[in-house]
Amino acid sequence: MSAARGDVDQLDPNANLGGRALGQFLASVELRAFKIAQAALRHEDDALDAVQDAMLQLARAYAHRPAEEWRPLFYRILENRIRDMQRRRTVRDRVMSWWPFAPDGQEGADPIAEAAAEELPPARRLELDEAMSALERAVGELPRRQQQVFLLRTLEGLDVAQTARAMGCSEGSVKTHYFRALRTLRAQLGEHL
Amino acid sequence: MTSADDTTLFEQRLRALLEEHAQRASGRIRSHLTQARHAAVAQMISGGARGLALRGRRLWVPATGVVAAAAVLALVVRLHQPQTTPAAAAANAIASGDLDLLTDHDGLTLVEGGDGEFYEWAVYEAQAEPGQGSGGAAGHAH
Repeated sequence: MSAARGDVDQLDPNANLGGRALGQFLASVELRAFKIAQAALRHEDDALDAVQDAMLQLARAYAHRPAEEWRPLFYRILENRIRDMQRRRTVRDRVMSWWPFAPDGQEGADPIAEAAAEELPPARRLELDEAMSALERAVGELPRRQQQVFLLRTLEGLDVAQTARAMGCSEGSVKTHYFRALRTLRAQLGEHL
Repeated sequence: MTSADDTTLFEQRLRALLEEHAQRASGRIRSHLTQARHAAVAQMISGGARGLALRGRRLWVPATGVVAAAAVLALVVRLHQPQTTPAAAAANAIASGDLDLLTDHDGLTLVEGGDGEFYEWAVYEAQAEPGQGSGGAAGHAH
């Protein structure tokens, strides 16, 4: 294995540089991408699968593209993956609704694994938890397109053109979805923020 | 404060809240994401090497094709080329001589007419001195 890796390095020295750049890019987006996928799928493991698939697909098909294009491409792939998983889940839910012993969606949570990476002061943590719960609830109730546009714009910081590319829609559509999402969230979260 | 400013402030608060929440992912999530990232990078590196090998192969394929096409062309040209070896040339000469005889009307007339006088002259001509051949034959014939 190490020999094969050595051969690879010898064959294409640029691959290492490209691999490092891709690794840095993925590290910079992975947590936010996970949150975006989780908001859409409402399931941790599905969200992890979606992000992993998007990473692999980006590496497989688009790693040779300029690094500036990676972000919208990555979110475009993730968006497609989320949509596929939602469709599949719809079919699965229809089938499982006929099944008398429906399985539980999430595995039992491991308190150690679920522990937050960084400890915060309890008061701050409580405040953040309340605000976050309200935000998650409100974002979760948004129509899917509004939700994705809102998260890509607000959390990931994509501009209108990049969001349009990632969503596969027009810039005007992005602006409309974003405005409506903001209006709804403001109406629901005014007192929490 | 205008409505636009208000909206911008609201967006900023949302962004800060979402960002803080995103960074609070559990160890399990972070571990999974790290593994996925490493897998993607490994795939890119191996894919890059494979791509290089494919690019090399792509250069070899036309070169091999050109060589093969040249060999076939040379073979075809050689098969259609006239034979130039001595034996082939002699065979060609005999064949063309036979053809001349067959198509030569006078030759057939000589054979059919049983013109012995001509053959006698030919033998005589062959036995005669080189210097006298032509004149003697002409005199004997007449």
